[in-house]
Amino acid sequence: MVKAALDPLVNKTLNIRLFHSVENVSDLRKKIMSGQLECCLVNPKLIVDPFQLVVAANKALTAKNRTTKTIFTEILFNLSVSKHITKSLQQFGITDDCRDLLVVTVGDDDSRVLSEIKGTEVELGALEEIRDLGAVKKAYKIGPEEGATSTIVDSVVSRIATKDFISH
Amino acid sequence: MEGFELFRQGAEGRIFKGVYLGKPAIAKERFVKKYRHPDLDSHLTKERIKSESRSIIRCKSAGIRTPALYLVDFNRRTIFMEYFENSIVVKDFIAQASNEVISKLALKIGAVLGKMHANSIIHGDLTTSNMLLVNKNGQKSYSNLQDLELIFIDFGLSHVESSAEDKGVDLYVLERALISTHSTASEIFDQVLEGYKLENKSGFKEVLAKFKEVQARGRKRTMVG
Ligand SMILES: Nc1ncnc2c1ncn2[C@@H]1O[C@H](COP(=O)(O)OP(=O)(O)OP(=O)(O)O)[C@@H](O)[C@H]1O
Ligand SMILES: [Mg+2]
Repeated sequence: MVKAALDPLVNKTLNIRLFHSVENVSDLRKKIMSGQLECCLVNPKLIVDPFQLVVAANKALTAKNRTTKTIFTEILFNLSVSKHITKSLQQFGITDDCRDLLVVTVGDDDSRVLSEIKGTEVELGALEEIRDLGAVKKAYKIGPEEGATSTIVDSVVSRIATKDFISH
Repeated sequence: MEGFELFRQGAEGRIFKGVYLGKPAIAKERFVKKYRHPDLDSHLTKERIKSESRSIIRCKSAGIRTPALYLVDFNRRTIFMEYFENSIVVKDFIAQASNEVISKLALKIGAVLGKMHANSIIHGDLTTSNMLLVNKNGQKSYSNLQDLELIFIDFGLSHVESSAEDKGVDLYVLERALISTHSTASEIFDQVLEGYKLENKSGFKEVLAKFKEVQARGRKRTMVG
């Protein structure tokens, strides 16, 4: 797992965990939607590096006004360059047939969420095998010119940081 | 600001250096201008921050490396961005480099600028303090130009514009800045134009003509003034 410090104003930590072979995805999604479970489930295919989640979550937690209902939907929304809420949530969220997933929580202790997940936790380094760089470039509209100079993580986080006022 | 220390204090704002979200970062904060109405001031600041960020992103899309953006915070009037640790400002590099190396660097500066202009990005504040040379191997060594990547920073006065006029003004600002800081300014500037021509072939003639116009106007002004 990764524990990341956020903006000093936020004074909270972000927990990121990666799971394989999760069996109760549909159950987890229901619990999140009914508010019983406070976390965000992210599709790992579009995540290049945990830092991408840190930037999106930090933006959500420092914002004066949110665009979506919860901090967790806001993180998903921020991950996408689309200004369309449903589209963003579908793009970065998961579906019932997903087996690999990233679990993002806010706070010191994520044991409550952790206990609900029926799957195998793996190191975040395993993202390298799951992520789909082609799909990432497409999702963030990163062309060949750009790929040659900036690292893909830099390109991705810079777009997340500016999604509310730049059309990508 | 927690985790940051004051790094530079300019006319428009302050720059803090520190660690943000676990990365070396700078926080560029703009001052409140007390003589303005508060609403107007926050509106104008917001627009400046937006155009600075927009140009940084536009450069990236064009294949020109710029600092990565970590958070744009309008309330705090601050942009949090990547800090290039192993870097030297071009101004300091030129002060200690040989003419031969400077000439090669100038060609690079011109090429990157040509590319920026070809993508309609007007920098607005082209000085050798707003360009960095970053060591590509993560070392604090600046002796070999080949190991250094040229990066433009400080897009605080930039805008997006395709007209040759604004590009000519941009070049003029650079020429004036070179003259005021470097003794071999005219040799440097000639090489900048050579590099520029390589990357903005189709626009070069028109931009050069505009630059000469602006230059002539500038001369007249200094003669009268
Ligand atoms: N991303 C960065 N990485 C490393 N150093 C930087 C970075 N950004 C700025 N600096 C350093 O800070 C100085 C000032 O930054 P910048 O030009 O962005 O701000 P400014 O408000 O225009 O300041 P000034 O009025 O001094 O030009 C630069 O000349 C450079 O030395
Ligand atoms: Mg500057």
